[in-house]
Amino acid sequence: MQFTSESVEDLVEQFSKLPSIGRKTARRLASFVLKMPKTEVEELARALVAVKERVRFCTVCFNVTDHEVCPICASSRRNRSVICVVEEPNDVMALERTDGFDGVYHVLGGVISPLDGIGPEDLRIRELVARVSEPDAEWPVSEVILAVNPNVEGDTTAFYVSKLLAPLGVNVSRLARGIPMGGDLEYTDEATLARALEGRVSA
Amino acid sequence: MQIDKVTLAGFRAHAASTVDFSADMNLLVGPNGAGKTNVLEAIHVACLSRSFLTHNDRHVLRRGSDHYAVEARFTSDRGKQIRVRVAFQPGAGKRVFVNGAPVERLTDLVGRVPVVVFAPDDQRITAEGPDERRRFLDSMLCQSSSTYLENLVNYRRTLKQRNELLLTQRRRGVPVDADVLASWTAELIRHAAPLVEARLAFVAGFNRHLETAYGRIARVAERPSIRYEPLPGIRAGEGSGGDAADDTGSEAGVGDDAAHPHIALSDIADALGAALERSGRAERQRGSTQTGPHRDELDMLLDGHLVRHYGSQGQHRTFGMALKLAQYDYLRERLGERPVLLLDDVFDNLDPGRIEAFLNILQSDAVGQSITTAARREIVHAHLPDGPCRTLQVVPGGQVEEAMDDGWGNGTRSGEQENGQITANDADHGEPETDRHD
Repeated sequence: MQFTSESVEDLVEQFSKLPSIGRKTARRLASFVLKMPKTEVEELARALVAVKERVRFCTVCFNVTDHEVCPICASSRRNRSVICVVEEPNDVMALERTDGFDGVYHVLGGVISPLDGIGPEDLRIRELVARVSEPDAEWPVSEVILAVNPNVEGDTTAFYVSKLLAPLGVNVSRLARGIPMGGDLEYTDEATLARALEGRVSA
Repeated sequence: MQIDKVTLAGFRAHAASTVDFSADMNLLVGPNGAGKTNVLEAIHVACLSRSFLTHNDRHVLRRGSDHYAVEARFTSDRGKQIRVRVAFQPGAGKRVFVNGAPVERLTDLVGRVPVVVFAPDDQRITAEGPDERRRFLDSMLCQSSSTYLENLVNYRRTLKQRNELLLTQRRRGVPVDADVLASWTAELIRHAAPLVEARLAFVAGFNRHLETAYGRIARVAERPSIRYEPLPGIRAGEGSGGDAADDTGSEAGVGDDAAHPHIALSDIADALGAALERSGRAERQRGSTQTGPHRDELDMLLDGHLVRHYGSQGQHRTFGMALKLAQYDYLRERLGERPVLLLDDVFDNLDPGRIEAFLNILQSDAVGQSITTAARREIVHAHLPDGPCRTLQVVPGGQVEEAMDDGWGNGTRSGEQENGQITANDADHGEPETDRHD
C-alpha cells in the first residue's frame, strides 16, 4: 500500500522511527491521524514539542522533571540516606507505584553495553559516586540499592558500580529475583526457581 | 513422547500437508526433493522452535508463501497431550504457542518435547572441528536442563559484549577502563562456571551410554569414550584409564562415578579466572576472548585414540550414530521421557550389517516411536524384521499419503493408493532459494 500524498508518507516515515513501530503500524497510525479532528492533532503536536522544551533532568537524580529539582528529591518526606539506582525514568515510576519505597532515586540513563557503544562515561555513574561521597550532615547516605534489570548488561553495570562504591563504606544491595507473586512453584521455570533458591531469605 | 500428527503450511516444499504417525516405526518414502526431510524439519521446529538444517527461518519458507505454520500434536509417555504451534512471518517474527497459550521466549519451548535427530552428516561430529562437538554437547544439555540453556544464552551475550570491548580497545590502541573489563570478566565467569560444571557432570555420566550404544551398532571390541579437560587439573571421562567401564551405575540415574569426584563451582570459577588472566596478553592482541566454554574441546576416542585423527570412514559413521543413540538414552534417563526420534536418510549409505543392527534397535523396546526418511523403501524393507512399520509416501509438491501397509500399520486413510510418480523437474522443490524476502 502506497499513499498518494507525500505528507502522509512523511508522517509514516516519522512514526516508523519510534521503537517497536514497524512499517505497518506506522501506516495505521498515520491513517488514524488523518481521521483525527484538527484540534486533537494540534494538542498532540504541542505535547510532543513541549516535552522537548520544558522537560529537563533533575540536577540531583537525573530523573525527568519540569523543574530544576524533581518533586521526589525536593520532598521533605523522603529519606535521602537511601538511594535507589535505576536505569531509566520509567523504572522510577514503576517503583513509585509500589508505594513501598520512601528513599530517593538516581537514574543512570542506561547500562554499560559495548555493543551499543555505551561505557560508564556515558552514564550518570560519576554523579552517583559524587552524591554518595558528598558529606551531608543531615542525610549521610547509608544504603544504595541497585535496581537494574536482571540481565547480562544490568549485572555487569551493578558489579561495576558496586566496585566503585565499595571504598565509600555504604551498604550496597540488589533487588531480589525469583518467583512472581501469585506464581506457582510447580509451573515456575527451572532457572527462575534456581535463582529464587539461591537468593532465599530467612523466614 | 510420541508425535501423533503434524501439519505443515507454507513450509519448504509443502503448501499444506498433514501427516499422521503410528506409535511405532514410521517410514517416509519418496523421490529426492519430494519433501521427506521437510516433514522431519517441521517436527524439529515444533520441538525446539527451529530446523536442524538452518537457523534462518526465511530459508524454510515456501516460495511464494508469506508465512509458514507448523502444528504438531504430541502425547507424552504419561499420556499428557501437548499441542505446539509455531508460526513465522518475515518482518513479524516467529511465535510459539503451547496448548494454545503463547510462549514468551522461544527458549521456553526447549525441553518440553525432547528430540534426537540422526542425519547423514553426524560423522562430522568426530571428523570435523571442535565446533561440531560443542554443538552436539550443547544441544543435549540445553534439552535436559533449562538452567544450562539460560546460562548458555547469557554466556554468549556476555562474550559478545566483552569481545566488543576488547575490539574497541585494540582499534583505539588505548586500554579501556580496567574496572569495566573486570566487570565483564566477572559476569563472563558467572555464566561460564555452571556451563563447565554441567559439561563435566555430563561427560562423567555419558560414557556408559556411549559404550552401550556403540556396541549395539558395531558389535566390535572397540571401546568408545569421551574426554573433557576444560582447565588444568579439571577433567572428566578418562580416555584409556578404564574408569568409564563401570556397569554398576546403570540404574543410578546421575552417573557420577567415583573416578570423578565433584568439583566445586567456586574452584571452576577460580580456574576460569586464572585462565583468563593468563590469556590477557593474547586477548588484547587479538581483540577477543581466548579461553572459556566457547573454546572447549571434547575429545572423542576409540580405545584411547582420537577418532578425529585415527578414525576410518566406517568408525566416524558408527561413532556418529552411537553418539545420537546414546543421546537418546541419556535424555530418556534424565527426563523420564522418550525423545521424539527422527532419522534423516541414514540408511542409504550404510552397509547391510549396520542397517540390520540399527533396524533391530529401532524395533526393540529401547526405542519407542521413530520417524525415518528413505529415498528407496526397498533398502529398509529388505532388512525389516517382522514388526509394525507404517510407510508414508511423500510426493513431489508436498503431499503425504498412506502407502501400502507393511506390518500392522493402521491405515486410517482408506482408499488412497501408492503414488510414487517422479517428475523430472522436482529436484529443487525441497530447497527454496535463500533470502529472497530481504
